[in-house]
Amino acid sequence: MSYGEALRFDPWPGSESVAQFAEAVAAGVSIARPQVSAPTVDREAPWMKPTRDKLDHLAKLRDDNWDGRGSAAVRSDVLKFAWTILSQIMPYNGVAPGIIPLGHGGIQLEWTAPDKELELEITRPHEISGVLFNLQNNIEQEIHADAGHLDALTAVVWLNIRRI
Amino acid sequence: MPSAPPRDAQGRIEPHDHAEIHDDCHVIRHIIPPHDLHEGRVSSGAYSESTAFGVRCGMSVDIECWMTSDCLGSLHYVTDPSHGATRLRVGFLRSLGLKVGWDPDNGHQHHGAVWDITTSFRKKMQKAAVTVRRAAGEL
Repeated sequence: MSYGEALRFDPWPGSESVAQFAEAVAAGVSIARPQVSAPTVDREAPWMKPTRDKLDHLAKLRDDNWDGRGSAAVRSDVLKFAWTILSQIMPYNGVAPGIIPLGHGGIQLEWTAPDKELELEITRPHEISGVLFNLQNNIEQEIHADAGHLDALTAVVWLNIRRI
Repeated sequence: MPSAPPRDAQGRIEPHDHAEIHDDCHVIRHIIPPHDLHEGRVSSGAYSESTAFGVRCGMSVDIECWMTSDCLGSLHYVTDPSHGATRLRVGFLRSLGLKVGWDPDNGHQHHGAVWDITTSFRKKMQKAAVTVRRAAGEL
């Protein structure tokens, strides 16, 4: 195309006026369909089902003195909070915790390994405390967990209860 | 009849050390399966205090030496055959700083309570407890 032809080149024929320009139709542009990876499979972590089953079981202990020892009914808000916390701190391949109802309506989460035991007590939502017991040297490490800052607790759990 | 336990203004039994529950006496703790068990062993959580109906009750126990004096066996109050029982020495509990008292209101005439239990003490009690009868599912 010469320079003169280029000046007269009209990419949208009939677009000399605004009205005509509005009626102009652009040629269709084809874009290659993006290649996508295989669909993600959302698999539940192995610890989740036994944990959920146990929490559901404990939710049935709704009456005070359910054990004949004067224990308070297990608090449903504690069970919900425990699930929320576990969902945040557990590694995918973590071992499901033992869940023991306590006399005050809270629960104890516990994990046992050959050389250490980790116990977390949830008295009420956002109130977590625990102890890591080293069975080799009988040293106890107290754990104070702030529900808003779970980094320290997550580190303890990841270091100590990952499935081997 | 033992001397009466101390009571608060509402008439509730206060945490106390009862002088007639001697250090060489033992108390019996009932073990309720499956809740008190973890991987077939009695969990330290089995040794927690109770707070029923909003009232702090301590950890419920049977006072074995008083039962023996009345010609009752150690498992007299463990009536459910699936339930287990463990034995703890009173002197050991007191050495931890715990109070061991009489609590006839929340059970029977040989019923006692242990107060001031923390997570760390629960673990020590778990280790010191002697099995009297295994609970169903206990290894």
